[in-house]
Amino acid sequence: MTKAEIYALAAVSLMLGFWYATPQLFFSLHPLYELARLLFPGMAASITGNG
Amino acid sequence: MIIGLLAWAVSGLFVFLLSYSLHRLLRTGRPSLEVISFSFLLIFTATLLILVAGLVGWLRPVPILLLSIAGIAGIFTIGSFRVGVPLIVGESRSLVRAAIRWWASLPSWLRMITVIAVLLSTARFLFLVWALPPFVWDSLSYHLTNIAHWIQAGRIETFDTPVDRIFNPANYEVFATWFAVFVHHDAVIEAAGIPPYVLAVVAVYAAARGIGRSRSASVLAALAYGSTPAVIIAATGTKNDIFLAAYYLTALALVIDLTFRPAERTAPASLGRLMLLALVLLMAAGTKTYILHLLPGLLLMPILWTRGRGGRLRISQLLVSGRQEFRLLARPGRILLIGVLVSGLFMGIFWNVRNWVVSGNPFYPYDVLVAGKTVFQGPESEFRLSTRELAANLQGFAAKFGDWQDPIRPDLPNTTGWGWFAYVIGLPSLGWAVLRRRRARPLVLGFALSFLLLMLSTGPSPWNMRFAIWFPAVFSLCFSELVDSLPASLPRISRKAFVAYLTLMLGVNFVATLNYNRVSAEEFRSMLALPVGERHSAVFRDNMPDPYTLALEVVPNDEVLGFNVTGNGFIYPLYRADLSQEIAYVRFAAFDNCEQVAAAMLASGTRYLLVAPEHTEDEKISVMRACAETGEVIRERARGVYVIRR
Repeated sequence: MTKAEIYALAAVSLMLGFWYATPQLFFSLHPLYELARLLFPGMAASITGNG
Repeated sequence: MIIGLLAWAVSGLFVFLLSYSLHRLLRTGRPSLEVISFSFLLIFTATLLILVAGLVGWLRPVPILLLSIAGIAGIFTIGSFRVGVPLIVGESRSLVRAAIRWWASLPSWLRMITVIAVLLSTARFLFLVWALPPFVWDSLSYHLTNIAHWIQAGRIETFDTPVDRIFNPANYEVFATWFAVFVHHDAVIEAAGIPPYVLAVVAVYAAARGIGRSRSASVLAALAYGSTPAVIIAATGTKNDIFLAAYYLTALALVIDLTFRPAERTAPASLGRLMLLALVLLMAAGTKTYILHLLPGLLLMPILWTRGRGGRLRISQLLVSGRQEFRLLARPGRILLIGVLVSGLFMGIFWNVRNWVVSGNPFYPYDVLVAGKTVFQGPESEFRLSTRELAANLQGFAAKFGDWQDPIRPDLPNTTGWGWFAYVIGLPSLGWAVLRRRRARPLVLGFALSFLLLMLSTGPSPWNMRFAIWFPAVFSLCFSELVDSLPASLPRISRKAFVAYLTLMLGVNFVATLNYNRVSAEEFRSMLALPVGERHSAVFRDNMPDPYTLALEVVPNDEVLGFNVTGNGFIYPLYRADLSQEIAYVRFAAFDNCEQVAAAMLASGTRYLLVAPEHTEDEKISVMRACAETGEVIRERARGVYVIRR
């Protein structure tokens, strides 16, 4: 694999990361928020209204 | 309970020993295939045991215990079955030594990531199985309903129900029954999906090794696939999609091995690999019929790989080698292998043959339409082979691509569920591999063909990507090609950045599945506040209408609970977690009067009737409310729960 290929792959990957992050970043991290709410009751309200 | 636990342990021992005996006969000649062979045979033999017990009406702990004891005695005494304890101990020692050598050959950073991944995944699986009852829609309508009825009846049979999909091929349900029948409780039934999850992940490793990837690259491929959110969620989702993924990927690993390591004179293992491939595909056919649509893709790969290089010659060499190995076996061994193949064939076709006999349609309850013409008729239209279907599904896939519409949840509504690794690292890897690695092209084309044929036949819906959770493995396998192509001169800082980036993607994949991206902290607390034995689906408020919870509060356990739901309604929650509630389907029409409804209830052997919004036709709910208002024949005992006046 050449350096150019590595740089190109890295660039494409980062662009795909930014693309996928909207809005999956919020969706993906929400479970951590619920885990924190489970471990620390009263910490914060549910964001999704599913509580 | 003690008898149940004893029966569970003894049947587990029998399944282990039988799988071990078969595993020794079906040698594959490669360590990674030996692992998937044994893992698959555990699922195969457990399913066979429960299926046989269920069909003869012995689906209870004591009969299964006796069957298992007889089986163990056979294994320790009969010819080719025979495995002595010293042999098992000896081979186990060799296995442990080989595993330690294999583990030590991996770089330390990869060992650390693997240990963390295994520990976190195990913790997540154990916690969710322990904390939550089943809650996925299709499980509550037909998958687990089958299991509950069979355990109550002590046999595998069809029964009167509005949900026609209980007639679907049910090898998954048979296997999952093993997790509930001994304790007569669904406490750990979600764990039934963990063995196929492990099988699928190890199959990706074996497939990567089969195409010539290094151990490290293959482990990374397996970790990447194992982190796919749709796959993790499916593992404890009490549905059969994870089983199909496991069988498809296991078949892929075997096909790859048969292609690149056809027949060897020194250590022939064609018979084992061919038999395993047949058994895997037969198990898949008895689990979900759409494996037939995925097969052409699996077959395309070896055709393209061996094109112009004596493909037909290799196939004939394999078959000749397999036949020679078969002839060299002692007679008991040959009889045993034929018996195994017949068992596999039975498990592959039983459900469809049963449906053909009972209804005239082997694919009941589905219509089968080919190019617009009905080939088989059924109450549900799902199997349509048409380009219009393909176009609609591809449009739907395009809308789901990128998972931008919804969180990744069970049933994958409006999403692919492929996750961060597949999109951010897997996609570029696939593009690179197709352009720069000729060997990757047949792999990608094969996966693409399987996917297209699936899209050709499945009905367009927001949830149909759950049929393709095997697909992200192609990203993992292409990634393994890329990893092995990284230059050795890559600076250390670049290597560390790469590992950190990869770990981040796998980590976010995993985090996204912690609570199925659906269960709130309050819902967890409501379950954790109950004793384990009382955490049942009807009290889990995630998607449960009130009547289900109320019915189990007001209807005595020793009375029959009647219900009327549609073809997609929940039935399983009514059985209770210990499967002790007797239930009965009450048929009545929306134009029936109260006396007629009451007569229908009594004819079904019950004074009680549950109806629920979104699960019962609105007109029938109106009938019941009207009857309760007059109150002469039927009164409302609780919201949605009606009882005949004495």
